[in-house]
Amino acid sequence: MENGNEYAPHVEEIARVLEGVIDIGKDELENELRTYVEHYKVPLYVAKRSIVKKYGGNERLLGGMEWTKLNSLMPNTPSVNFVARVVTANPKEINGPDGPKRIVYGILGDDTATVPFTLWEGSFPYEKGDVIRVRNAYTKEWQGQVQVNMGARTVISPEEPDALPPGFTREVVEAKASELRPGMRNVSTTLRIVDMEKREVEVSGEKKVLFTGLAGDDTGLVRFTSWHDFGLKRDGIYRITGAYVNSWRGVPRLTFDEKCSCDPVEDDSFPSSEEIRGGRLIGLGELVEMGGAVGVTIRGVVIDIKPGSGLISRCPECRRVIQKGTCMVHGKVKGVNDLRIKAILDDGTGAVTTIINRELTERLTGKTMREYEEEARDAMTPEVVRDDIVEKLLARKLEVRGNATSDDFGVMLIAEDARPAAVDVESEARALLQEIEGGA
Amino acid sequence: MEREIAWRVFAREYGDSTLLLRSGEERAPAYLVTPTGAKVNRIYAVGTLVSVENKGTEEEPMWIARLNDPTGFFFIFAGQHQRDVGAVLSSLQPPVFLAVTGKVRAYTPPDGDRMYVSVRAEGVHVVEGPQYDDWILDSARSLKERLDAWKILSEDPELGVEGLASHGVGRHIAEGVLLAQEHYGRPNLGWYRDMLVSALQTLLPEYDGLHASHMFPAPQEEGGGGEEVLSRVLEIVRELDEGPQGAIWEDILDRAAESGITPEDLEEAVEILIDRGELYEPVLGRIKLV
Repeated sequence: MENGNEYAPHVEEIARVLEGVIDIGKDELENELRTYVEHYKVPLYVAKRSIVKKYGGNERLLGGMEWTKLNSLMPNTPSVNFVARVVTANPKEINGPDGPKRIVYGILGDDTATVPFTLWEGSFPYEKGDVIRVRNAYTKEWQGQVQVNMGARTVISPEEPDALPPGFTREVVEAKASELRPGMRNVSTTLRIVDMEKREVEVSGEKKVLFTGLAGDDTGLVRFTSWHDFGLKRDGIYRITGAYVNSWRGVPRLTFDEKCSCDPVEDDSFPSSEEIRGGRLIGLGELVEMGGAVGVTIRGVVIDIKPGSGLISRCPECRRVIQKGTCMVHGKVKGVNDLRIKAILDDGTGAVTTIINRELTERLTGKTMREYEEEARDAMTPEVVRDDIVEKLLARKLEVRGNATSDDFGVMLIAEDARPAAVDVESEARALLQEIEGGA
Repeated sequence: MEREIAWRVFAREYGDSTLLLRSGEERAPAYLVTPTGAKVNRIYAVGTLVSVENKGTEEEPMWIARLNDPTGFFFIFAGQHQRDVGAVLSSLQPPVFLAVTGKVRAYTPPDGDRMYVSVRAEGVHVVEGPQYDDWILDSARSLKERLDAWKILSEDPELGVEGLASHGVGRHIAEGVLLAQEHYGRPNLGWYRDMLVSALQTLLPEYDGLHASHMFPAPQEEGGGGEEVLSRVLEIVRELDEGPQGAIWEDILDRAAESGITPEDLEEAVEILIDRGELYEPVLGRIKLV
């Protein structure tokens, strides 16, 4: 940027968006921008959009655009913008639905992280060491890591080599248990081991010992895997540095090995294992964004009770739900009755499917499975059981603790505890009112 | 596929919405963006069911129910494809507290420019008072979150989704607020704040009797709302129509104001009633029942 005037960065941005659309000088753009803002009193962001639109540019490429550092990229984000240096770039031929197709894959880096990328459309005339500005790329998660994808809507432009500091020094990320996200690297955190087991696995023909379990702090629990014997003890508190986070079915997993450090810590004020296990209350929007979590407590209204709720029949061999006395795997079997609820819980910020087992269902409905079996026999249909559950639980707010995982159908929480949520409407309304009137 | 969130939005704000996002793709969800930026595909509404009517035929029913909340009315729709819901609705005797989950439904008459917004019901369930109160609280909290996002945005209008998120605004809110800003400009936030306060006051005994819906009369453009005003105006004229000259216009105006009817609405109502042959003007400034 040539000078320090306040319009300069905005003029640069407009010029970038209009590049290749129209040949126009930056002085002219600046004059125009000034006129909009100073004479017509139009807000800056409106002025920028208007100018880009007027010259036939795509105004969606500006306005509220965020330039993200690579270490804060989240998986499954529809549009991300960043500046990065090409670490590696390799063309590759693949067989697409419309025949062979050339793509480019490789690694991009900035001063905070490196990420793998794939370019699906267009050309990539850049090589190792080049710095590029990328707009409107999107991210996915692959093998527990954030992956950048560039498609037809992505715009890539060259940058000066000094737009980024040289090298890829990695920022140390300090995080609490609930802040750990798949793809995070070089993580430092202090956690108490709540549960742990030692396992032996074979990795490329070689026997390895690993330690897996649950660890947590005042924000919640996280799964962990240690590939090295640090002498971890249940209930011990450890300062872990240099770890990374991958995921399985959306549940983050803190992973560390001999290259990391893991030292015991004395801290009497650290929450106990029991306190950590109690689970923290988490909003469903946050849970859906995280993709999964262990030992969380959620609150939501039962807005739907799915088919497959009520009295069901399971295979005595494998516990699979069976239809008409036939198991997918074991064929004709004598089914064993079970009782469960598949409910959609929604709190207005997110929605999850919740599976409630027999014991909890009996407690919530006040009826035993035996009583339900009798009612179903009398009515000659198990539908009456589901009807009763709907009658008692639909539109009710529940508080549920359990473990959440995600798949293609969204987030599912297996309940370990479920009870009607106790809401003190009056005092909560009063508190909210005070907040609004106080903050006016 | 992530399941669509069931938004908690007050009826008045829902009805005020004029931005419908419909992508060209088939079966892609449509979103209604409310003035403060709730981006709604699915809604969860709880209120008092005040009327149920079949506006279709017996073979092709089209149930329209009106659900009252502290700010106005939701119009609940159940057509041929929601027969189960229609069956439940038709069996209900208003007033009852009703919880409704449904999808956004918007209709613009071919010759009109105003969009009518209703809820295509997926499911309805009779509930009790505490669930209604709980819903009001949740809806208030949701609206407050959006108003807080606007406050942040007013300090820096250039913030995008990420920028808002870095100030602690949830992504599902940030996106909608930015869309609302683009479409509505800056909505009348003070008004929605007052609506929020009134709605919360209905939950507190110290404000007993001060029911928010008196301050926030339901929009009168659609169906039953208009009829309600008409019948109220007719009632007023009947009460005041004593002498042979009929009721004095100024008196009608005063009484109408007491009922929360604006002079504009009153004039329109009287015109309609004269057209319908229920009222006439014997002399200037006097109104009489036919």
